[in-house]
Amino acid sequence: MIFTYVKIEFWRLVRTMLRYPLELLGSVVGAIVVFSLFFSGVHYLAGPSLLGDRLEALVIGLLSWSLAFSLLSNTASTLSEEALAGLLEQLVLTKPGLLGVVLIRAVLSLLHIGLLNIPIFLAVLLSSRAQLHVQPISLPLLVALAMGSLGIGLALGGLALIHKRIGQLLGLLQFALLGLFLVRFETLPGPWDTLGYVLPLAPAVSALRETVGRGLALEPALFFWVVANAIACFILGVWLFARSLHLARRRGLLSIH
Amino acid sequence: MKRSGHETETGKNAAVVLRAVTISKRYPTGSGWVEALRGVSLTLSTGEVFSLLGPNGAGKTTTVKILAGLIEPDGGAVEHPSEGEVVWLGAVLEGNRNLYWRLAALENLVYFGTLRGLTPKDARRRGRLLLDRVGMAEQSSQTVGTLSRGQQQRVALAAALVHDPPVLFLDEPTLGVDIEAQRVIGDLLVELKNAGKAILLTTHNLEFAEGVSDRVAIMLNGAIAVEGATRSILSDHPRAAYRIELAEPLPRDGDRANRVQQFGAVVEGNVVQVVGKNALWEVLRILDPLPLEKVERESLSLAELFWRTLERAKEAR
Repeated sequence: MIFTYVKIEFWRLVRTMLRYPLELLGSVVGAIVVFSLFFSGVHYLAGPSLLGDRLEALVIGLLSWSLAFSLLSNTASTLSEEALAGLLEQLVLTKPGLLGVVLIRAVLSLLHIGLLNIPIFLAVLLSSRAQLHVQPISLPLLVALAMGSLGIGLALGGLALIHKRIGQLLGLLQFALLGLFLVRFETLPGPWDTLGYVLPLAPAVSALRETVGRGLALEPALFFWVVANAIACFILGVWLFARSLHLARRRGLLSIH
Repeated sequence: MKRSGHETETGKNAAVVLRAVTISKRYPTGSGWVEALRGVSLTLSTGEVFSLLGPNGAGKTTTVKILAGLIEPDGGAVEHPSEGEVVWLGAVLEGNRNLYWRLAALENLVYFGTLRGLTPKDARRRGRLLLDRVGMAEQSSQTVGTLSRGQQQRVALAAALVHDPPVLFLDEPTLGVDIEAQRVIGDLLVELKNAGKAILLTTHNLEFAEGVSDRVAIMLNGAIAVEGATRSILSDHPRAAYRIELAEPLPRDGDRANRVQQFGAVVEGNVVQVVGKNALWEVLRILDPLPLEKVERESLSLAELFWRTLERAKEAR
């Protein structure tokens, strides 16, 4: 049965996206233009000093940010939009329930946000002229980054159930996340370097910088932190969403928009 | 859920499918709490339309949403059928879009039907039938956002029914819809009721409610003030008038007419209307020995009952 729900959600997603193709195209082209202009500007301002692994670190930070922020904002803003449109109650009255539908959509967003990010990644690589070292371990690291991002998206979605309008918070969060992804915690003196293990998504970005950016082998200890951090973010996100749903039902907030 | 059977007024065997026992709910406000529901108890049976009426803020929507499991009550209990192959409830909720505006009408029915337990193929087949039934077959491939309010309500009703639930909740289904759409919705409700569905309706449209309801309850300040079978509650009301039809017209300025008017009777040609049993006997004594055609009890309209209930509540305060 779960496969049928996944299939129908995928069908809805495709129908909705294809019905408004310019909206989809606009968001991808917009991101490509912004990143291309950004790296042209970076090359002009930094000149020859942007050498070594700094460029790669910057590119990894921005690519991770693009993927993570699109994933978490997709989950959160979809819930916020549906809360404002008054659709959540109809989703509660389904067999998988609101939590089930949201989890299915979160997993599907991996696919569609992943696909939408491919042209953005290519544009960034071409305009930045960065040399990346993609290796087999890159995929689990990206999956871990995506899983953690979905967890944060679910937590924000929970906030949307209670507070409805979270656009401002998402706006602030994108800058916070950008800062988080550009800081190289591994180079900070102790105890500050431990922040790189415990802050949400930070270990995955750090591991991507080390492996894809610098071409180094992944340390098993760091891999452990990447997995533990992603699982913790995801479980915490699901738990916070479930708690928010319970609270919204108790306070009668599901239909208030 | 264990179902208990009973005989309805129309003689049909009905099974209770939903029971609420002393449910209460309060919401926080800036300065304290507001009591939304104060111990509401009700039942809903197969093959009936049960209407919850009341002014804004009386607690109708909170009651419906607690029964649907969308709001948790603070006290009391709700018993309802457990989910089987498909979700037990279909609902059209007031103030909500209920549908995806970016999807076509039929696509909405396929989507919600599948999420409520049907296969996509069955959902599409049922969706087509239902859109045809509510007069929306021609607009089935039109996106919902481009439909009129009345058309959206008809599609929302079809979407609530797509998985053939035994229980249907309709919160203000006629709000903002034209007369034609109201007629379609009313006819469909009667058809569904006759097919054995249990339907809970809330509406401010008292004429619509009177036309389709088997039972009504009027809610005031979070409690049920009046409840009963629609026909008996209207005809047995103490303010329901007696209609005396004479064989010949009664002169309005004659002695008899003046005397019956002292008991509050209204004289119109050969018809005399009077309220109350005692007044009826007094008027009949005055009219004696004029030949009578018939004496009958008239029903209040639901609107009259509603206003009388509101007035009585105001007087009691």
